[in-house]
Amino acid sequence: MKIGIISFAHMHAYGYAGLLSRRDDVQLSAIWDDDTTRGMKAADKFNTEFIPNLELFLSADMDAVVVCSENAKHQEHVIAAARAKKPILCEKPIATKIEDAAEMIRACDKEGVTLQMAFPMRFVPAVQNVREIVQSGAIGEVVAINGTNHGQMPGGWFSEEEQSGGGAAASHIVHVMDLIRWITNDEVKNVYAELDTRFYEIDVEDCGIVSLEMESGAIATIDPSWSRPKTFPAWGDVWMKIVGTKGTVTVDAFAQNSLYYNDEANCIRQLSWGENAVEGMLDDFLESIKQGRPPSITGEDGLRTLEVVKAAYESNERKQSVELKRVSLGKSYT
Amino acid sequence: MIKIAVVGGTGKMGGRHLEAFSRIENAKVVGIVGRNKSRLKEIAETYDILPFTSLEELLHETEVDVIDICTPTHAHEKFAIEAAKAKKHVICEKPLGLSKDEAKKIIDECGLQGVKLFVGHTLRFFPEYADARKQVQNGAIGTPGVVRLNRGGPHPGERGIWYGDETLSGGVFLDLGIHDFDWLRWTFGEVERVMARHVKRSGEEGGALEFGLAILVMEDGTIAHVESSWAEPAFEASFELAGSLGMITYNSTESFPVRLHIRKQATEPSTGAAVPKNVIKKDPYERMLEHFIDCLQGKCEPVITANDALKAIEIAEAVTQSARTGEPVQLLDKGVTQ
Repeated sequence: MKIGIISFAHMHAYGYAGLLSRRDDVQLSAIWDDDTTRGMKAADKFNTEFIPNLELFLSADMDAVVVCSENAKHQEHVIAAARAKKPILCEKPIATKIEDAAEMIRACDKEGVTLQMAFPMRFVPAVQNVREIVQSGAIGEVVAINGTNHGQMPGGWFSEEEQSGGGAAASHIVHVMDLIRWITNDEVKNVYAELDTRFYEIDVEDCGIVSLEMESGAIATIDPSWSRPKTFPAWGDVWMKIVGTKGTVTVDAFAQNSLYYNDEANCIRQLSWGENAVEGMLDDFLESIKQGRPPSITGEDGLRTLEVVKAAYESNERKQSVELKRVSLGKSYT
Repeated sequence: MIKIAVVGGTGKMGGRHLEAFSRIENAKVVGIVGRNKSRLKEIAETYDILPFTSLEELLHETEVDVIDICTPTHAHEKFAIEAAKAKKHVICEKPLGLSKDEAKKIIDECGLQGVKLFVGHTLRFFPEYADARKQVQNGAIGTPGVVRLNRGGPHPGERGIWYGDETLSGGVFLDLGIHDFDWLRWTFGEVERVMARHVKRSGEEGGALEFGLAILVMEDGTIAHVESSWAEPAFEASFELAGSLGMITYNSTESFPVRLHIRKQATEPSTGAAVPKNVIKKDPYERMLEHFIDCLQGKCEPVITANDALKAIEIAEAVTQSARTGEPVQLLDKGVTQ
């Protein structure tokens, strides 16, 4: 299979490219980037072709593209790829505006092109295990979830609102939000959030807490803060405690690690020995293209999490809870 | 020697206080009040003190300086006021009352009668919490950002039916969350605004549960997340204090210095690990009660005042109200208050 990558603005592109170029059944066939230097460097690194013109890039022979541009540019790049009939794996969050996300979904629908969201946490075996436990009814009815997706401050365009759509809330609510929806088959009814900038001198929020009421009546909080110190032994965490009427299950998605006390570098690091979730996600994406089956994580999954992010910003602004209004996608194009 | 009587001495908390007082110099328990007559007799014999079935009777028949109230929360007001009217100093378990009004009545009566009032917010005497506060105030984590506190255990309904009844215990925020609310206020100052959600179930296969998730915004801007849970298999408390210069974390289950496990014969069922709770010379209850005795003797000022206890109830009430209405509750108007 031939796969192209649109932009290396998001550092995950390097991870995808590395994994793709290691596979026998995949050829990383081309790279496009609006930053020519960055694109050429990446092409050099992964031993592939850099095509400086997006139209030309999209007209090349490719089975799918991965979109890793800045969040605000996803809309333009996804729609262009859809028109060129290229199936798409899109980095999260889906977009910076709800209208953009809806437009991207409709465009892919209209062109009959796969749009999969990059939510790799669904491919962590521990997370899959917890989903099975919850869906088997073992803990009864889910009544509450306490979740965190902490991180270190990523810097760069991630803290430039125009490019990223916001700070910690825009970046880090969506992973846990997606897992809550995926594990419980529930949707958000009401959102409250307290967001602030307290860790770094940046123009976007770097911390906060989001409080949710689900349609089922279950309650939840998500902590998306960039609150991990520089000395923290990992980039961050994804953790959830799910309380049910019969029991409680907790998941620490990155618990499978050994701790390395490194005198030479004067630091302590987690050495992960767990499965590579990104690899699992790419496998699944490529498999869905080969089989022509619908993607396992849809554009709508991306949109629903973005709606919660937007409601969180609105709530933080008004200091009131916000009833979530879901955009109707009206599948009239299909 | 300060003479003490423990009301509710036959309960779990009463037992802890009796045990602690037995190790404190300058304090002597002279009597206890309880309703369970056989327990009462047993305890009175163990500690060599006089048993009574009413406070009135105890006040009539013994010479006592302090009434220590360890009853269920809903009885605090009645006993505290009775004790104050008899001109006895009062030590009362937390929360001081079921509501701000109840707490206020107790405080006013103690003021009127000129007796001292101490409230058992034990968390301030847990070394890990006291130290964490000191670290934060010394700037160890820089500007505090988001702090997370968890506290939970099994639903206490089995220990006493009154816990499951909000009109008797005040519910999980007032009974359990109040520890963390008070610690937050002690460490970061007044609470500006709260938002909370809450679930409560009973009579289902998994038994009763009560679980709350609260956000508190402190006057210094710190955002606090508090989980208060009566849905845990065993007691667990933890905190994570993240700031611009670092983070301090603690988990009660990860800091047991001693773990004892007795292997059973293969035919016997395993009983699991037995964990000594406080491997510390003076447990927090003893530290607290000793401090109250020192205060009574004029040796120091209380680390926790009756007004602090009142404020803690005010926060718990705001959190409970927010969980009921689904909207935030403003406690401090920054435009008016300093």
